Amino acid sequence: MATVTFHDVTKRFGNTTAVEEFGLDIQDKEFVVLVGPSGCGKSTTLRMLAGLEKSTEGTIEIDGRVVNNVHPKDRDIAMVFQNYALYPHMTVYKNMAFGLQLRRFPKNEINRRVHEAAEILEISELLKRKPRELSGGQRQRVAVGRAIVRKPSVFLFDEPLSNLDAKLRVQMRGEILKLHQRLQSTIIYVTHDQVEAMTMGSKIVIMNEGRILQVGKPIEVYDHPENMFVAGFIGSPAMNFLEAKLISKDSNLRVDGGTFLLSVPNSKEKTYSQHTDKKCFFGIRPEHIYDREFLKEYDSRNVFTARVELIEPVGSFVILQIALGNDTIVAQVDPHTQAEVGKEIELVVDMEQMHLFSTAPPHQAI
Amino acid sequence: MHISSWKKPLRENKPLFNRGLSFWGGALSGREPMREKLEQFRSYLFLIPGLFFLMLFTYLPILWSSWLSFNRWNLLSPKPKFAGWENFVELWHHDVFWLVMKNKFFFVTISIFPTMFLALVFAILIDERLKGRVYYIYSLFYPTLIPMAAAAMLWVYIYSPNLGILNILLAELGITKLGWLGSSETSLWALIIMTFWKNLGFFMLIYLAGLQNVDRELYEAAYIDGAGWWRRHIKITFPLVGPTSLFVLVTAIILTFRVFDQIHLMTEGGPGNSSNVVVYYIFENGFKFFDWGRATSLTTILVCILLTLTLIIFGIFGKRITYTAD
Repeated sequence: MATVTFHDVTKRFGNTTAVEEFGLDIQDKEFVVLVGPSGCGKSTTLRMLAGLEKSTEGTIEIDGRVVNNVHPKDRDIAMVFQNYALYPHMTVYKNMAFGLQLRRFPKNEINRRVHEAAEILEISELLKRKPRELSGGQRQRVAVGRAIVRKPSVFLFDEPLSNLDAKLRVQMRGEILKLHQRLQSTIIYVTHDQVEAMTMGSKIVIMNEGRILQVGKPIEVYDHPENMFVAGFIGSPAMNFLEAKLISKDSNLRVDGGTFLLSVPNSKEKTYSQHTDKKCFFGIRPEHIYDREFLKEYDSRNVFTARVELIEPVGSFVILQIALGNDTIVAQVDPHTQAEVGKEIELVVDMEQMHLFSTAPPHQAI
Repeated sequence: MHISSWKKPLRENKPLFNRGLSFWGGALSGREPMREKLEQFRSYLFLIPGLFFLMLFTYLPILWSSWLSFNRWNLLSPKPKFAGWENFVELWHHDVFWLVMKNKFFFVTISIFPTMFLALVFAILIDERLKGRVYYIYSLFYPTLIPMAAAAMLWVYIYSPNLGILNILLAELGITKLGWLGSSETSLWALIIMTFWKNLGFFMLIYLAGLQNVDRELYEAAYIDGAGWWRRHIKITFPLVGPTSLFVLVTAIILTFRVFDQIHLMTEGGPGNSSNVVVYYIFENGFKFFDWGRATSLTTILVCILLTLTLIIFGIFGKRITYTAD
């Protein structure tokens, strides 16, 4: 297996910079997810690692060897494409064997590897079929199978689940994770879906406009987003942001948003006190806003009243859209909430989970 | 109505009137068979103008010429007179008939495969985003756009034994000058080369369109799998442009069988019938010798040959080719 290192890799297409000074260390056996909105450069980064694009600047190393000028077939990588890229005129068996045949593996070895991979992926009975006779999920498995028969050092996945329906996506997510545990290989996975990133990655890399914004374990990124973009991108429903000012009142630090006044907990006072009387963005995740009715204990200073605009029952929770002055915020509350559209509701904010961001771009966390 | 519920039936290959929607868009209930029949009738009404012209200018002439081919009808017998298989038997014993047939099959076999192969190769090269690809497309497609009469005149000049550029070039290379259109040994070849030049761009353009259906990711997957340029195209492009190749093959056979203009303008089938082919022979019989019975029997033979070839080709390749769409 292998480590992967990007040293200040930049990719330009004409005047457009797709990836800028991308630097990243990927350890052996790590499952790294590159996540970001469309056009953020994540796929380009993966394609540079695969050898499908040449980097304009910087070096890429696989296992300590610079691969910038190495042909893709000699990089010891395998890639699973978004649209599976299965050869439509070949059977599943031939699709999986193609790469090995090109590498002149002996026939019995090819046969053994294809059957072994088919067994792992539970597609043994599909080996004689052609891709058009397979369902989306089965095609996905064949695409993965084609990668694993090669036993590469690094697996690259380029949005492999985006063409599957929601239920199948959840199932395949689990299966790719199991596969990772079984193969103990380095996986670099690209997605625009933050849920996929959170659930799959042992390390996630959040990108925007060609740059890395934050790298870390999913829970670290969720708990401590370094800027407003990451805070808003990771987590669903997205974090609420409200313009506010830090003020000192009754010997306590408060977040004053005009329509609300919330108390900064003691644990955070020290960090935030130096920003007193400064404008900032107050961030709170919908899951950290509670319906007061369902709380036995709460800090009465952190209660606010607002009008419900929309109720979206999801089953395990209810999403409320709430009007707060000119802003609309989202709260994720108990499914048995008595909230009614157009009526006021009392909500409690868990200020231990609060975030503050600077008003100046790139809106770094305070 | 939810969008998907009206979109779905459109994907099914059912006639319009069975889609649960009336011709005018209203929903049909199963209890109105009479109304449904009326709707069916109404949709057939729209086909009548098209069918009328097809009947007048395609089906009736075919039937008419098929019937005439069993008749003796020439300057000596100005009214068609039923003669059974006589025309066909006469042709069977006629040397020129076998010569034009041989010439035609030679023409088709020699010109089609190189045309198809080179058209595909050029299409691949252009598809790979060569610099100045637009100019390649224009220069290759240009001959297709030139009227045949102008192209024929151009090639008459090129093939001119003493002034023609081809012989001048051959002389430069130290090769003996050829008679080209004036020699029975080279006249057919000269026409084959000219037809190849004229058709290449057209088939190249069709292949270029066919290549757009091949998913780019397949090439990338093959590239990572370790396939070089040749192998990528042999293993992926060639099989996946199968549907296009089938179309090109059938079209090329029909087009080549129908070759007439350049022969009429450049050699008139000569010298000594060496470049005479079926359609020109039909023209000669019909409009030079005024033997319409024989001309129509030749037409019937040509139609039968084309039909049989098309059926054989579809029989062999129709099921084997891979259509990339699901």
